[in-house]
Amino acid sequence: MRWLFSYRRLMASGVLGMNARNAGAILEHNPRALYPIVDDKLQFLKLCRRVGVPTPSVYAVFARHGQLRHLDATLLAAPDCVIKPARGSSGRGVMVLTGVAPDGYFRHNGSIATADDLRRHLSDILSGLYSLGGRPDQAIVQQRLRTHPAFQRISYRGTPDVRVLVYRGEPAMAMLRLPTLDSSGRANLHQGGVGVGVDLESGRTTCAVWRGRALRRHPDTGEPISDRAVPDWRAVLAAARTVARATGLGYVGVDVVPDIAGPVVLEANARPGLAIQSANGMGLRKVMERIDRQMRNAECEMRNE
Amino acid sequence: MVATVAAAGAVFLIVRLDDVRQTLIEHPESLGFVVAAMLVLGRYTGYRLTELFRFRDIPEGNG
Repeated sequence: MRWLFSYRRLMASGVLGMNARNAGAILEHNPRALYPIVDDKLQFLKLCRRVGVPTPSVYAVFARHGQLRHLDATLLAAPDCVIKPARGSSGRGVMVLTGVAPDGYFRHNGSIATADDLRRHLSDILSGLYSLGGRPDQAIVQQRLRTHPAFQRISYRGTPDVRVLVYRGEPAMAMLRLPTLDSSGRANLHQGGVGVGVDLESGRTTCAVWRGRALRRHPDTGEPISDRAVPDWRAVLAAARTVARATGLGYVGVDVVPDIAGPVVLEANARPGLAIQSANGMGLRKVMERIDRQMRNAECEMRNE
Repeated sequence: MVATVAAAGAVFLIVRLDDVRQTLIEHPESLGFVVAAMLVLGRYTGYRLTELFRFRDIPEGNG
């Protein structure tokens, strides 16, 4: 029950609460009008292409139910793919296929989805079952990124990614998100993924959190999680910074997959969660205040010149 | 969802009390206090009770 009396302790460690995040960070730095750029993955992919940041290739986009009759042809041409709603959130409605099976397609967990199952799933997506606010949506069939060999032993059937929280154009905190058996291949913490803090300077993992508790080893593989290097760390940060600045949002989470060929940006989030603090074992407020100070100093210098 | 139903249930039980009903009917202006309390609550940017629990593993003095 010690947690009940930890208000001052949390203040001292600079933890950012949900109310402070909404009132201070999101309301102040994320203009409402810019949300569609990140909420709609198709718009976001276009933006990434414009600023020259690599994204997974898109095989097909389905916008109307009538187009679903071409689904089989699309999937046969590219059976190793990810199907996702354009305006989904926290990994809902995402389906990962790995190849052609005798009577359908293999999913990443080894089960088989028939062509009918998939048509139904896409139909659900188009109807808006997984979209923000339940509005009609589009379905994207996208290239599946492979797990980097560096993460092979600390992820379970899925692709880990790095969430970089960018505050006013500067990376403020980062965490590696690992899929688990529970999260069924998705790396979102809400779905049961593991969040691992990453030191911004060195790009090495620190401590981890799973289902709200601190963690030392991957729950499925039993491998120790801390002090592993994220490959291409500088490039990961650079990609996150470029994309965040291009969106115009001042408090944004950018999800980057360290692919073998270099970092690939998956998506961005205008309402990034607070679990990144638990994963790093430290609060966000002081980092944000430091960045604020840097900005102020830079402005003063500009005026003096 | 569950929390919303629980909150609605708690409020129902309170509003059902005879004393509360009588006061609200005789002094409808007392609703102003409720509105004021809501506004103050909406401006609150401190930690929520659930967050004290959620961040219990974050060590002190970091950050």
